[in-house]
Amino acid sequence: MNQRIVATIGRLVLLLFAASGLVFALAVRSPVPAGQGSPPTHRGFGQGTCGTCHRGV
Amino acid sequence: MKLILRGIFWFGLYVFLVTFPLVVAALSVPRSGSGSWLVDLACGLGYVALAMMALELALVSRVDEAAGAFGLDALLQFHREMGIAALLLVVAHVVLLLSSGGYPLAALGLGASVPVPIRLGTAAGLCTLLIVAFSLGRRRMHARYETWQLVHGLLAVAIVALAAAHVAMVGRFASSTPMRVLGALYLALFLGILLRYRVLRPLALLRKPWEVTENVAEPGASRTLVLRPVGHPGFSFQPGQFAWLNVGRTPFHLEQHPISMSSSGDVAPGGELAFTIHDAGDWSGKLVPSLRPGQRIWVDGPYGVFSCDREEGPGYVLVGGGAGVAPLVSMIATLAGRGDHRPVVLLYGAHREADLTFRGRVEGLRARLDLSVAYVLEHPPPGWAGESGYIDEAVLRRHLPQNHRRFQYFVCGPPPLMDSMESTLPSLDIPADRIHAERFDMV
Repeated sequence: MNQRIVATIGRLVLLLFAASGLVFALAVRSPVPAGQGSPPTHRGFGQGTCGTCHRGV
Repeated sequence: MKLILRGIFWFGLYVFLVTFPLVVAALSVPRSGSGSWLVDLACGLGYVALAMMALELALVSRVDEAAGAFGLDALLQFHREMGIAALLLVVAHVVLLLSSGGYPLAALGLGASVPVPIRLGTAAGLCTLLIVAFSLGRRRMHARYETWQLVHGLLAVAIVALAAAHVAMVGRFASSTPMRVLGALYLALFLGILLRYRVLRPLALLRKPWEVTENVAEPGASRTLVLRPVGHPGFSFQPGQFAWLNVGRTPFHLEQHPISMSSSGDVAPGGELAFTIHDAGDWSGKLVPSLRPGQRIWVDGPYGVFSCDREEGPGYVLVGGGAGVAPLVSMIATLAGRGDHRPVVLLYGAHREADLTFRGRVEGLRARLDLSVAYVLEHPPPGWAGESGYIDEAVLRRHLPQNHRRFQYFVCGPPPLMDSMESTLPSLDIPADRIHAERFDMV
């Protein structure tokens, strides 16, 4: 197969995968009422993973 | 058409496997995300990058069905492109986390104060950077192919293990039961491919040894190895295909090299195969010349879609240079052996007259085939009556037959020749589906 074709397909696939990450971020995002967007909610995090974001926890 | 459908199936399966974890994650976690859009996007890209890295092995694990649809050289190039793409997504993952404000730079290191899940992720990211840098810079670093192959394999396994542990321990999205089941399935798939590639396939080869019967020095710093199957019928192949040669004590030896057969593809059961190998480094320049008749060798093949047997046409134009002429000579020998009456044109490029490794064999086959040959020398000797310079549009126009648009074209040679032909042949109105190319420097 032509090398340029494979390179083009590779770039398109990268774009597709990046776009799928974007769709994912939009899909898991729920509307947050004004003023309540921060701090992050803790739903979806496993037990004992506080140290991932919080130091010394 | 059947081949196109197979290609679409395998490509679709690849895209599905990479993106499916995102679908499961989005459906199995309550619609909350992390509250930070940037962190959610970072997670999404991280999942995609991990799935891509886990599937990198699948792309090069010699699954016949997939390799048959695209050609192994195209799959290897795609493997390379996807490796770079995965690295870019990993970089984006880190940049997005830093940009979200929730993760200071100091919290993404390898130090003892950094939580273990983050340290695992950092280590996986650094290994990804290393594997891509070492692969792209291998030739510039003058690294031995054998060393690169070993480091590449070890880093690949380390990346998948570290990244999988990172995702499992961080727990976001991955903590749901469907995601844990899916993660286990992907890990099983990765380990299954690794098992097949590194254990089952070598075990099968162990029962089918070959031995060297001849090791002949050829012009142009090349050698022809003639191999005989021991205790099994061997295999016939489509002319133009290649096999992986392994001269280790067992087939489990990691070092192996893809080499085209240079003999006829129509091999009787128990028949010999010939491989013509150009001196291009430690293995081909030192180890191959030292092989003696009777020496055990392991042959994994045949592989490849670069064959005149797959492309029917009123005639063939073969364009090659250097070691790339070996599969073309195999095609010529096979067609001659079959008494084929169709015209064949060979355009054979080399630096000097002494580098025309296959000239003797080609001349010997001319009497048995409607074969016209043009030797094109970059540095012709005084009084040279053939073509000089490079195989370019002018040379092609001088040697192509009148109905050349209907012929099938096979091109194999060094990168400059391949690059040149990829643009020159279409400019001569040759339809793209009649141009078949294989890059022998694919690894």
